[in-house]
Amino acid sequence: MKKIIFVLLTFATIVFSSCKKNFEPKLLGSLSPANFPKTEADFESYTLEVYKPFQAHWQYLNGTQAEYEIHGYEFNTVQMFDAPTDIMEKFLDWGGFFTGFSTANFDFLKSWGRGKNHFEQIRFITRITKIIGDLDNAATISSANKALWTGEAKMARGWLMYYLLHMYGPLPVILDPAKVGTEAEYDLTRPARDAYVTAAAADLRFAADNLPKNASVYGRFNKGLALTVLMRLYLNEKNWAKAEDAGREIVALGYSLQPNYRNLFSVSTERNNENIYGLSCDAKADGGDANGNMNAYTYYTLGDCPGITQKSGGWAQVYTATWKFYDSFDPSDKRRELLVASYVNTSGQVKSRANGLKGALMLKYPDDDASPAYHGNDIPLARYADVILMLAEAINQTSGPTAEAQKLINDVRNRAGIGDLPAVDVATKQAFDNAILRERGWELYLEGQRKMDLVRHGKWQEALISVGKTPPPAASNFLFPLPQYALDQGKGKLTQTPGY
Amino acid sequence: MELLQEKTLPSIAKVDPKNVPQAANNSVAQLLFGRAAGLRVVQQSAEPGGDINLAIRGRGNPLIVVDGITMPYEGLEPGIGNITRGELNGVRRGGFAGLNPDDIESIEVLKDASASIYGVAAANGVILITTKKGVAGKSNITYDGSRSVVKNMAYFEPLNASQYMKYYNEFKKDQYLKSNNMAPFGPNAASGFVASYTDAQIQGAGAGTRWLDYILRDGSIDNHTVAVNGGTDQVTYYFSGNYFNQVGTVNKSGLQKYSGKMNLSVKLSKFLTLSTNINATRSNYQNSTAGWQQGGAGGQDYGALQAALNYPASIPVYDATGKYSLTTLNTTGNPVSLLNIVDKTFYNSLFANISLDITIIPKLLSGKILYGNNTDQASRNFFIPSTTYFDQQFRTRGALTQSYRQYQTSEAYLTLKKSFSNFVNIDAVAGVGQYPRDSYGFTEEAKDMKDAIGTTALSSGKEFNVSSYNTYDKKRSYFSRASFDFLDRYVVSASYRYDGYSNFFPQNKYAGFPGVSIAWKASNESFLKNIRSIGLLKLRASIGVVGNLDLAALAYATFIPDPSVISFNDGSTNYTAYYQNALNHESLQWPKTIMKNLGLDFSLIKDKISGSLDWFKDDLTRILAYGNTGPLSFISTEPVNGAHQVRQGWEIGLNTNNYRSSTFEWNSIINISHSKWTWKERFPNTDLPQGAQIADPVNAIYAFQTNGLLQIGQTASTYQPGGAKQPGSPIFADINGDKKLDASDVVRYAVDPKASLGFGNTLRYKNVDVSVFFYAQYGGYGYNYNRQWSDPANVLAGSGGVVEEAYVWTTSNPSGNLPGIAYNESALGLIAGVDTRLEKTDFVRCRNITLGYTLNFGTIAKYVKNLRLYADVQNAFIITNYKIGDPELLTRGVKGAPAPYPMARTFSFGLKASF
Repeated sequence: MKKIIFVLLTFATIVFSSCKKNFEPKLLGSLSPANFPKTEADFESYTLEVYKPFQAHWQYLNGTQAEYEIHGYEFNTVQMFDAPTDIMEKFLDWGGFFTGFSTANFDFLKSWGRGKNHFEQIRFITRITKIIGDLDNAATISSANKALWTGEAKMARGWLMYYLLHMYGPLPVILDPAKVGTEAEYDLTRPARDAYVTAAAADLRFAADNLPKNASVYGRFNKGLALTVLMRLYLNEKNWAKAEDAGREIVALGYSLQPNYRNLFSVSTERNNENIYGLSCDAKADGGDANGNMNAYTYYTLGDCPGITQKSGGWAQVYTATWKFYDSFDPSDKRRELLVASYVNTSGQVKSRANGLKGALMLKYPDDDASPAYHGNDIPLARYADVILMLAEAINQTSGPTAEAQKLINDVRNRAGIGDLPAVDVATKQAFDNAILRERGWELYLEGQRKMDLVRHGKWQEALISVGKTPPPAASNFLFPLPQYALDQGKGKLTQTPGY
Repeated sequence: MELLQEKTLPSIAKVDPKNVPQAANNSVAQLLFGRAAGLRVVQQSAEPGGDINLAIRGRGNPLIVVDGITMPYEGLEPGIGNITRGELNGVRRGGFAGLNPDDIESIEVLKDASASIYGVAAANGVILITTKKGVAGKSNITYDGSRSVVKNMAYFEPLNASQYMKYYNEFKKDQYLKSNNMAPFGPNAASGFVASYTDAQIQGAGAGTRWLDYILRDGSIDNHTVAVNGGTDQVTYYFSGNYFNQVGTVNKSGLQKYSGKMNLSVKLSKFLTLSTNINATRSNYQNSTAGWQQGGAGGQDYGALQAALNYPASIPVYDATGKYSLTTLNTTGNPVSLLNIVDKTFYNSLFANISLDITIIPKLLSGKILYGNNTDQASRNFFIPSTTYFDQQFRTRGALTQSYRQYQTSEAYLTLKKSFSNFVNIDAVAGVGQYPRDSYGFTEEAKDMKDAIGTTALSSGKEFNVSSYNTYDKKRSYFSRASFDFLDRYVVSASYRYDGYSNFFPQNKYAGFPGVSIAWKASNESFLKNIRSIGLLKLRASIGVVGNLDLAALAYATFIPDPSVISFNDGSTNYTAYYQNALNHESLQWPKTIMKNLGLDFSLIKDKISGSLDWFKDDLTRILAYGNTGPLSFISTEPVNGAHQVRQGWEIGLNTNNYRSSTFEWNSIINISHSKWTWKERFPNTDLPQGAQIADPVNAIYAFQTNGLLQIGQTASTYQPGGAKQPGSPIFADINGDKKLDASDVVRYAVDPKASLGFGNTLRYKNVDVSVFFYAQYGGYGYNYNRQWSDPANVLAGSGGVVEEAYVWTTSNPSGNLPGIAYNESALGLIAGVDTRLEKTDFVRCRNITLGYTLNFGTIAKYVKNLRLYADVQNAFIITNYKIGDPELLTRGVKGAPAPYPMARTFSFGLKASF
């Protein structure tokens, strides 16, 4: 018996003798900064994080916080920049932000919390800055990969900055890796617009200079995308000369218009020489972030319309074209063929304008891949047609409606099956500018460009009024209000968008 | 740890399981509704094995200590991966699943700082459970069996087909008038509306399909326990086995539970006793997809019960071709077809401990070494057959998930007991303990298997998804307590813990937690000793610091594989990105809660009235929680120590013996508890709700008040929100009269009830006993999300509606008091909620009515010592003003509307015998 006690006491002494030993945390399922990122492969998977806001799922998790993707389906570029314009009808059925965006009443954004807006993307910009800094300091990677991956990171940062500028105006961002993790993270002073735009342009320029025309994998950022976003940035700042320069650089890359407009959005023909960059979608995707990108537009556009293969129907007609926009097309315009004015619904009834259909359905992404759920149609984010229309606009602003500018727009029109611009539209610089704006609407609907185009031309408010929507306060400079929590966190340094 | 003895000083409430009807219960938590002062018990989900929340003095889940070993309170329920995108998880499992309530000897609820000696991180209080043991002497066999019939309590009442058509027409008409700016919603004259259903159709529709009848049913419970206990001088033993079979009141739900227990104690020698307790359980749950709803996708992802409320009565179960019918919008699956979803959970638990008691110096010094292990394992099998339309698809989808969890306890301690004549009694304990926890799990999902194959061969499907997790942490502790009892009148006790947590940095792993308490047993003073009406009068006071580790926060920086796959090339080239999700937090440390308690224990008039009064205050400081980082940090939330909250309250527990004679006895118990939990200082970077004050309740709802509805012709005030100026919109209250509707008009409502109450009476006349037990809560508010069903917009969006549609304001029903179709709260962009769905959650529930008869055997008493027959009604009735649904059940504001698993009334007949 004494032996037993001895054994037990010895055991107890060993087990409980030290309060230090064997008491380190186990970092299960994670890596420590002490050992990551180290290798070339580590740095690539570390850099690829910059693509996260540019994917297409329902939402993604940034740490513990769910956030919307820029080109996803809710709070995306279509909802933010197409719905609150003259080309899309109001959508009131679901209330909330659907009503807000589609009626151009952005007041609700003031009270929405974290993760329910893109303001939190300023954190992601800091994350990209950290990645850029870590790449810069990495001794183990080749200079070629360093330049390439830094190019991708700067493309992401510049693009985010471009979008944020058009949502909220210039926002505080951390672009210097040395400031990450310092008190600078609490300083929400808005930068001057010039400085902000210059920084975004520098990122996009770096990306354009370091990314190849054709990415190693279809869907990764490329040179043409960087130049297109740079061109949009300059154009919207009305820096016509630099926009023109960027446009000519793109032209020199050798893109061309595809003969058939419809094919740009179909799965089988989505890769073509007009498509500078598209969000590459997977027909098997289900919206979960463990799977690829999905194209869910039919769910938002079809409602009780059976579509082509969408046997299950859509949810509701969230994004529909106003009849005014539909009627503005030349009836022979092939681009209008993707707008459905009349259909037989899933219950066998004919739905059309005559019996109360509120707008034309936007079947821009045909559900022709027989996928059982969401579809695999890539979502074009930079198209050559957009580039040459922008180029025409920039040329017109500096030199008037030159023959070159006219040809650019006529190329786009001819591809759509309609003739050259009539003389009246090329008579003056202003008339030509108006024609470009109109043409951009027909060409680029449901591609998330309309609000910026209207604002640039100073016509957003009148366009809203023309379809029965009430424009936000004029003082707002056409921007969204900041969320109240951001103003609170800003401790007086962050100023609310004027007018709100 | 062993139980504190009666003479020491905790604020304690006891529940004697013998006094609680147990027939229909499979979880210890079900015994606790209203039974202990200061312990609030709330049914979260009424499904079999559903979650029951326990909170001592309004704190988080308490530490559970069973026979000296800590046990997790949270239930273990595997998810179903991502196949329903998280929409139809459907289960909110309760804890305690491994224990059979019949095996419990006593339950003690320790509420103040003296509880901390029972475990590391005891700041939420401790529930000490002691299981039955054998005693030396004659052996005993007991049988406890019951059969119960379970019937749903009043549930939602859907519209019948003709009512549905009538209201649909009325709502549709108002929507038409509004969207065409016609009177009374706009300047245009009303014209052109064509009703969807004709009068003839409405009259001919009749009752239609009673969808709920296909989903709800009567249930039953069979519960049988056999136990054997006894012992000799050397060995004592207790063995028991239990079979519990519940047929749930929602179709396809149920529970079969098998458990066995062995408590064995062997005296190895004069100074060594070896004890072992082993408890094994297997539960098979059938999940009904109705146990819990939190989805954000609305109708397309409804489970059967939600779908049954969503399908209008005008739709038949099967269409003309004999297939399950679908609604025109084709979003929600057919309710009856949704019952074909297979969702089963298999749960195993093994709870075992072994301990050695060593007498080192008889009657002075003893030691104890113990090791305990609580391992739960659960696997879930989820399958949607191709014939069930779900998430807008006819497609087989399945997932198998496995979850595993282990809590270990190792402790060694010495106990010293010494009495110095009659002057002072010393009782001291010192020891060490280590408490590792680990868990892991994985899910495998696939689609397109054949229906007959299901999840048995996921490999036959495609589009696989796999996920897994693994966690580990460890606590350590050095603890000591000494109490000195002078002259059996003045007691002083002091304790000190030095607790460590593996997830903090070395310099902050450990923290010291001192505590002290004093008591004065006034009734033992000479001047009171002879007053016969005072049996016990003890005043006590305690103050102590405890560490509250509710959050398993890691203080170290980590990079993790991003669950968001980075996908290119039409999904054929996918990368896993790694991102930094946490920074180093070297200063992260134990939170610190200062607990104060004043109490009085008494027993008066020959024990006719006995009980306790307690007042308490907890100061929660450097609370460990996830807080917002700086607004430009690349990590949005991080673990922080911060804020200051105060919990304060009082409780009274009374036992009265109202009458006692040789043939008749009447006893009552009453307990009343009040607690209030408020902020004193908020976390840095916190986002305060609009209208919030610093010192508001921690659980609060902020809402605008409304006062009736706008009528036709009534002019809306200028401050009425822009989208709410139409007839049928609520009239917003401008509280401060400044003609503006802003943060200063937001009203704050406390969610936690002000008081909770338990009240029971037992009467015994000769062999017959009757007892009635109530529990109640008062003073809390909550949004009643069940009322989403009565929202007219829900009806127009395809839902079948409930009889409360009769109260909706329409141009046809201008006396309605629920907002009309022109009003859409979510489109208003308000800075706070609106009180239209806000309700008081007050209720009084009759938990049990029990009638028992104890038989006395004459001649056969040789074989049967005792036999008791009883009948019991559990959840006999509820008294509440809550409009739809049950105020106790937790529901969330889901897209569409929630359909909580209904509360049920249980009629039991049982027999208890000992041989």
